[in-house]
Amino acid sequence: MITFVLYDSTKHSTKKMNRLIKYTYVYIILLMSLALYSCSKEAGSLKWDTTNKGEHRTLTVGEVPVKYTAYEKLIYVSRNADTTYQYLNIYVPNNLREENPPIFLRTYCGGYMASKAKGPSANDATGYALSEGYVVCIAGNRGWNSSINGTYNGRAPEPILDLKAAVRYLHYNDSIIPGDANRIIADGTSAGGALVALLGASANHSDYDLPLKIMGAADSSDEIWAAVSYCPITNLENSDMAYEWQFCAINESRELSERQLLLSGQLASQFPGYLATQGVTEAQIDFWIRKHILNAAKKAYDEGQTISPKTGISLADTTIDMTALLHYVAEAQPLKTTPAFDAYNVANKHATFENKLFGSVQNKDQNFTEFAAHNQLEGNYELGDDIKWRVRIMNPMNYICKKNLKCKHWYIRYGTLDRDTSYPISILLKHKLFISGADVNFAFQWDEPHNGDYRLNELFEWLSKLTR
Amino acid sequence: MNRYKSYIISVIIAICSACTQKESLIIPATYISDGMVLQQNAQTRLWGKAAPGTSVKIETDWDCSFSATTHNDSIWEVVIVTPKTDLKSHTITLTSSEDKKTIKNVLIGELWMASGESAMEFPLQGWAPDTIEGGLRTIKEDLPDTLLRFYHSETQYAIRPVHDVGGHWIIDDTLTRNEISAIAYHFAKTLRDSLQIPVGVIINTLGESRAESWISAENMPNYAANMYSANWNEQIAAITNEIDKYDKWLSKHTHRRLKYGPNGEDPYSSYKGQTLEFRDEAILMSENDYSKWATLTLPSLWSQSNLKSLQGICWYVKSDTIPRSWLGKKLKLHLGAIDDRDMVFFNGYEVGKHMASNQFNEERVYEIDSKYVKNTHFTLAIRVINTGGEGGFRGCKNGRMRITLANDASKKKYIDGQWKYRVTALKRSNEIYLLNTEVDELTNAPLPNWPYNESLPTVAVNGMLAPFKNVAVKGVIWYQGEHNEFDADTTYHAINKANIKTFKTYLGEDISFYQLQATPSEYAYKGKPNECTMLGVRTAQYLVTKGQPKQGTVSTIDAGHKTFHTPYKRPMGERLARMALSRTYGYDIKNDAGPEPISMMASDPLLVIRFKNAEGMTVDTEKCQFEVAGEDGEYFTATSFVQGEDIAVFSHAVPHPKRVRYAAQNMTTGSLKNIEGLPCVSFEMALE
Repeated sequence: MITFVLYDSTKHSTKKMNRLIKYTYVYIILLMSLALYSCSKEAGSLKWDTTNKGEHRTLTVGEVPVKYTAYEKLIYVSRNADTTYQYLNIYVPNNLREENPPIFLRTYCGGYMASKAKGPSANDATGYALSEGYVVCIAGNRGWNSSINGTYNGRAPEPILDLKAAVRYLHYNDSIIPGDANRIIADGTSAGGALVALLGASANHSDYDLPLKIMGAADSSDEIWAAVSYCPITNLENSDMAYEWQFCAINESRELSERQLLLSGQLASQFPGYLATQGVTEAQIDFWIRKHILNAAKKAYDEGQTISPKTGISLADTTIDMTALLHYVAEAQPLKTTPAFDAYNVANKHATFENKLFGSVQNKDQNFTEFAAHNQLEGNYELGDDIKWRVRIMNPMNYICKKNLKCKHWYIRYGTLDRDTSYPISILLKHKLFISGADVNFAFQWDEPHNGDYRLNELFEWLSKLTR
Repeated sequence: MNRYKSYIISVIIAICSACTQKESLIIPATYISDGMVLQQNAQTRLWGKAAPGTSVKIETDWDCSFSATTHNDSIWEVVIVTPKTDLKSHTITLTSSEDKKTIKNVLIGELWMASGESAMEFPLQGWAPDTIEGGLRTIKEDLPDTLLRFYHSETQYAIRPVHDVGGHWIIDDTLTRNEISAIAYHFAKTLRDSLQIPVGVIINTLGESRAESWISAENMPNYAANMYSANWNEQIAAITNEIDKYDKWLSKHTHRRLKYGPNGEDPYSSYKGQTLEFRDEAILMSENDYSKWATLTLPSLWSQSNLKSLQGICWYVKSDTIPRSWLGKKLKLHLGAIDDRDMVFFNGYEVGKHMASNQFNEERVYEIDSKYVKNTHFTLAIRVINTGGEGGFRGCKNGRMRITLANDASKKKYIDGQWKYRVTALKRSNEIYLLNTEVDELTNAPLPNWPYNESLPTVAVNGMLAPFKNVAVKGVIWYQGEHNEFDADTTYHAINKANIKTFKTYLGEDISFYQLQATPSEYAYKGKPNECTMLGVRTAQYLVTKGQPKQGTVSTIDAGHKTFHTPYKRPMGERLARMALSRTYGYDIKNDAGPEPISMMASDPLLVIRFKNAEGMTVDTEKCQFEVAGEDGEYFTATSFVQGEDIAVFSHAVPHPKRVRYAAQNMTTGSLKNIEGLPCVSFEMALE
């Protein structure tokens, strides 16, 4: 994994001159090592092999056989590729919806773990996309659990770098590969949904240039055209605050130690401060949460579902008893304990997947928020610059702005029963995209737990309107 | 002018005569007071203070006479010889040329010391919300017994040895026994019923103490004191030096001794005209400019701010607004649990308090009467007293700190976040030092970097054990472990061994030492209920006393509870007494404890463990509390069956088992018992 400190060009000031000098050194050393590295190893070719005729296959979607050609194991980085994960597969249906249709790029990353590129499935969006005549691309990525000879090579930011490298591969070979690389629709769920959001938010951002260059990604754009994100586990460094802000009212429903109860109260009280940095008030976020939940319940009700009184929802009065609703959520699946993401007592094997994501290549689990670092069982410490940089470039919220937003089309769904993160996380993502000028199709899905690729007809209807 | 002169002279004369009078007095150590119990057939120390050079004569009504002369340190001490027990009340007379004191109603019998942390201190009446099973019945219905007595030491810690610790003797009665340690009571009561002679117990505990607090500097093993460097002895000078500076700074302030009232009244509450000066008016004056106070974020504990491990009184103030529509309505204040005590003022009016001891974990919900809700602007001031351990706001159990309408909880105003605070008094051991309320004195104070509280190594020995040096006791019963969670068995083994050595150094080589194994608990530990973060401590406790004469470890594995303060203290006291009767007093008791593993052999895939006290062993195989591991150390649930004094365990997942552990989780209910119903200790064992 690449661990280094990069200078943040957007923040520099004369006050930080010393740091600038320090970081410039690091930067120069890195460039030199890159130069040496380039000389020492011949870069593999990322050009599409035109002799690859693919393999003809059929997938039955619904009851309709869909014929397509499969091009598999296309390695998307030119240096030291981890051939278990760092490749993509492309599936081209015989019946293309247009001469050069959009590319539907699916990531199966979940839990920020490594994910192998697999074939299209009749049960998810890949099969649906094939049957709708889109070119389908499935990209693998390394994750916190991938390792080679005991070195954990997929710790943050490697998962996003891999997906960006895959997107760059598609752009690089746009003239040869079937499908339109200028219209890539990326789709993912959970951590995959978060990585898709990050792909969309940070497209072509210079922060990623150097690490992408070092890993031998193609020298091309990493823009995507549309982002489809189901229940994104994103905005990780602020998720603990949001989680406790949402769930602390029903702490009795989970087993928390005295110390965890205290941490719960502290995290909850810090969330309004974070909201203020996003230009949002508590009242606003509370209103939006209620609005989206009521919309979801109303839609389900109109479709014939019963809304149990246990949910605390009154469609007639358009009111929600939030405590009742949260109990309803917690009954469906026990809530995470406090803190939900950046664990307390990480040193004693209490790490979450996120602590592993930001862990070291030697497999040491690490904290990634100041709060957790200041509240560890073993004592307080300060987060290192390296971790801060890694956290920053994993969060799409840091990149969404009116000036730079390349990906304009967003489709975000979050289940009302989802307790893997909290309601505000996807709402804040939507809000920031909206005020940055994106076209966002956002909704909560009634009674849906942490899940993705549901109501595909709605998704593809939205997509077909876009592509028309 | 003349008037002033004569006034000054008379004041000086008064002071001088007061001093002279005071110095000529004999002041025996607090423990040496009416109602005391002395160990029979022993040499025991009596000591106290008097002016330097004073000769003190000590006479007893069993015809012993001793005398001692004080040196420059004003301390006199003698070692007296006590006779065989009788059921009589004795007297001891202390005489100097200027003074005479008589200690009355002294009993000669069996004297023990009960020591350790709050789990040992936990009284028969409980500490709300925790109670003792059958505690109230014991208090009300057990017959009063004037030959059963307890000395209840005040908690005190110190970086250097001290001569005296406050406290009072309690003669057992239905009206007095409520504050007595439940374990000590049932231990002493069982001894008393069997021995039929007077029994006394010195209850000498320090809540929140680590085991290292109870090790003297010379006995400190190098890898104990593990919160500090590997070599404690190299650090003690630096720590003492730092704390001396803090003590010096502190001693410049007016201070008050925190004393229990004559009937055991709490030192923080007012009794018979004695009240600690909280100086509420000075803080609540409307012209106070709180904006100059320092800021912190609530909820938080002192340990999370620059108050660190200090104890004392801190005021928290927040000014904010409520909606206009709330005016004239009754409000509800949700503050969460406050450690330890609090009194709350809304716009200067007291709206509620929790001032009893040990309410540190209770949720604070106060009603604010509508008559106080006149303005949208409000100022909330909270006086928090941290009397020990961590202090401050523990947060609400459900939701955030808030004010709501009393009749509509959905209308709320959050009051967590930024608060102003000022420390107005600091507690050190059992003294309280009053700080200036008008300036922030802490900013320039030489605050110690070390946690100068109950957890600092040696401080319990200096504060609570040193005053009893060479006091003859038959033995010590001991209960500690909670604050040493995560210690490896080898670490805690060295620590626990040093605890015993320290007690022997102070109380005599011949003392007995019986301890309770750390009790299972769901939430008391930092580790989760199903983790094994206490196994190291538990294993070490049983191994330290294994095979040692007049020592033993009593299993409490069947007394698991949510908090560390389990209600099942009676069997603990009785089991300790059973062990003492057998091992100290030579009673013929066949199984004086629960089963204890003594050896193990492997016969793949079986491990066969041999137990002592194994008669009639039964184990609930359904509960599967045995686990086995192979070379890799990964444990799997094992099936177990009893065969005589052996238990065979095996797991299909472990073909070549090397290790076994029993009832290893933080929260567990051990089912292995012998014919007496006594439970087996929790342990981990490896093939040799």
